[in-house]
Amino acid sequence: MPTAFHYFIGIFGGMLLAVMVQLNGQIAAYSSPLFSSWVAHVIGAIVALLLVYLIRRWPDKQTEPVFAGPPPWWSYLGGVPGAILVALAGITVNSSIGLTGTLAFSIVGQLVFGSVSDQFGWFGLPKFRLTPRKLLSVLLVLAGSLLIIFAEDIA
Amino acid sequence: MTLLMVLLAMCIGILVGITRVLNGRLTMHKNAFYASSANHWVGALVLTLLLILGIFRFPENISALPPVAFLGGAIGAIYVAVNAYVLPKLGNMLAAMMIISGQLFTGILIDFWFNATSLPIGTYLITCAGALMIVAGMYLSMTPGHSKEDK
Repeated sequence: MPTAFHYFIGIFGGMLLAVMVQLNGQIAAYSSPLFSSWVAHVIGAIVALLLVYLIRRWPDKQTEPVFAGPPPWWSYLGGVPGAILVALAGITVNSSIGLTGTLAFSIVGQLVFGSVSDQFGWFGLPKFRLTPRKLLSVLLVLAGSLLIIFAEDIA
Repeated sequence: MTLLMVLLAMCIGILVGITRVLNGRLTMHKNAFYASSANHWVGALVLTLLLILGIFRFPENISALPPVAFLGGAIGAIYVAVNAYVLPKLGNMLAAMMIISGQLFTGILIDFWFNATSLPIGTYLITCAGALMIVAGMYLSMTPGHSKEDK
């Protein structure tokens, strides 16, 4: 069962994302979104590898993996959609929908895909069924997000 | 054309969701940092391939890049690990929700920090209303009232 810690760590992840977008955006301003992503991935690859070795030095701090067997080959491919979406974002941000439209509709895409993938337990993950409470909470967050994104245009 | 852009933007969201789920699955076999590492190395490989193919190029004024911006990659290593870690615990939708909320809150704070005096009052009020709705949604998702079928 998730605890409050997991929820707050998720929020913390969002903070990291906001900072990261600002920093990577500075590189993109001097070059291009794809180059900025390349730099971020190469540096991130080295840092992540260091972190893997760091936690191996503390075996008692690690928790048992949930699945015992070897991972499926496709679970290693998380980096592929990442590279593709940077290219897509480069297109949509410079189009009629702009940064705000890109942000708004990518949020919709995430939440809709997330709820469907949860409901059916896609990719071998546990099923997280949609309840009325969860649906309401997601709609509130979505509405609030759209208000924030379009605040200047609405006002 | 606008419709196409809207669909593409939704696809971005779907790709984000797919990334989360793939990394989450790998995390369940190994751990979150392992998943972040795999994600970054594979992504770096794909992008290097695009670089070799000439889809994008090195910038000419590469020495003008601000050094602090390279921190983004390091933060990314942790960010992907956090995503991969919470995915199996919260599920894809709630994980997305928490991360989106955190991102928008921080965005608001950054905006207000730099633009506090120049925002019209209407924008300020609507932003606050949006933030309150997000908090309400998050609170609702976190509070008990979860029955067995929630998991």
